[in-house]
Amino acid sequence: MGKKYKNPPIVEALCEFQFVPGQPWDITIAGMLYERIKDEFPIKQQQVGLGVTLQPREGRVIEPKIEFVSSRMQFFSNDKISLVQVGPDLLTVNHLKPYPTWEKFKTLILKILGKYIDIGSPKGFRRIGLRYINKINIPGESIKMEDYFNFYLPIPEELPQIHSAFNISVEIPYKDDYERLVLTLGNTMSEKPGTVSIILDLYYIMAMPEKVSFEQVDEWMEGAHTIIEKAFESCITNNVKNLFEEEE
Amino acid sequence: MLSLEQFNYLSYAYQKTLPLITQFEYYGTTSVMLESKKDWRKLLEKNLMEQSVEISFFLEFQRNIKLLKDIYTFENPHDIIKFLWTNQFLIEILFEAQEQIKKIFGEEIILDLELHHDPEENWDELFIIIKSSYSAEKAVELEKKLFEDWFVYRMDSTKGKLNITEEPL
Repeated sequence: MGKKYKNPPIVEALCEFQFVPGQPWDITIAGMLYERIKDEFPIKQQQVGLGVTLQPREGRVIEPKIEFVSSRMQFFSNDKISLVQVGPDLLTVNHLKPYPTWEKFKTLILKILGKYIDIGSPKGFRRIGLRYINKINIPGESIKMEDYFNFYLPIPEELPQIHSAFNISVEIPYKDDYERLVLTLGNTMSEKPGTVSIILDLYYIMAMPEKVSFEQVDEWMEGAHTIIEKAFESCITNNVKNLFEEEE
Repeated sequence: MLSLEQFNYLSYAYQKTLPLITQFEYYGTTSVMLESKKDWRKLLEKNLMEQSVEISFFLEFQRNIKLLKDIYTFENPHDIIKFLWTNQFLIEILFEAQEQIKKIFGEEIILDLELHHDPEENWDELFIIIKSSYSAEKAVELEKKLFEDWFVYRMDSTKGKLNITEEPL
């Protein structure tokens, strides 16, 4: 991101759109979109899962309710590296490793978005998110976080300085708080023995309904990408950058 | 300096990044300090009615692996994870298998996952190993019942990549 690396850590990039509906959503919208993208995304799969919602009740009681989450359709490219997900007033375009380039990814997103808008006729965006998930594999049984990250969990001196599983997240407000960068750093299953694997998740969100118009979305995405790029470079030290091998 | 507002665990975007159970733990707290944050109810009403769906394909996979690791002991975890990444259709079957196996074998069992490689055929197959303290005859009888009641109907969807066997505990 920004700088070009020979071994970039991006395991997934995605762009998510939630819409203010212009008409009630139904599954035929997913079907019509599939018809228009099936040359590029021929493999279809239905995603149904259980979800938990927390519903406040009288007397400050919160009642968890388990229910089937509305189905989402997933359309994969033949190599299963990119996919489009469509659900009720939701569209995402995901790209797994290897990540192409921002220009190519953005072109794909805008193409799919254009088709969705044509078909679904939404009123506007309720939420937009651009997200880059990086998996950083660092050789060694254990590592000193500060050697690799500028964003990490400082542990008070009085406590043992060794920790195992961790997950830290911080939200940084942008543009009068209606946009946010959510930075998350946590460990994950290591790819191979003798390696520490860390996930650095950079998620830029606009969550103000109809704040960004369809015409402004290209510009919004550029801005979001620049912020993510900058955040990525600031969160990691040169030791990590060396692992990725910067290209001349 | 970092302000509380910048690290607001009750705000919407952060909730979306937390596993649901953790969110529930936050709200179910007995801490007076956390309880005093009165905006929790408003936030719940406004935002939490939406279902939390993981839209990241990679994180969804990681979450499923984590859940599967609570059910099965992975004998060769790195190889199994790689295998499941390329054969993701097996994940749903593995969740379902646990339920079906427990229906027939009961709760007092251990479930292992083992990846077998046949170099001659260049073929990998994942095995669910049911470890129980039943006698050999009884275990075979239950395995047969599992096959007839459930596995036979799911065999096609395993694409020959999953098998089930039993072993004494």
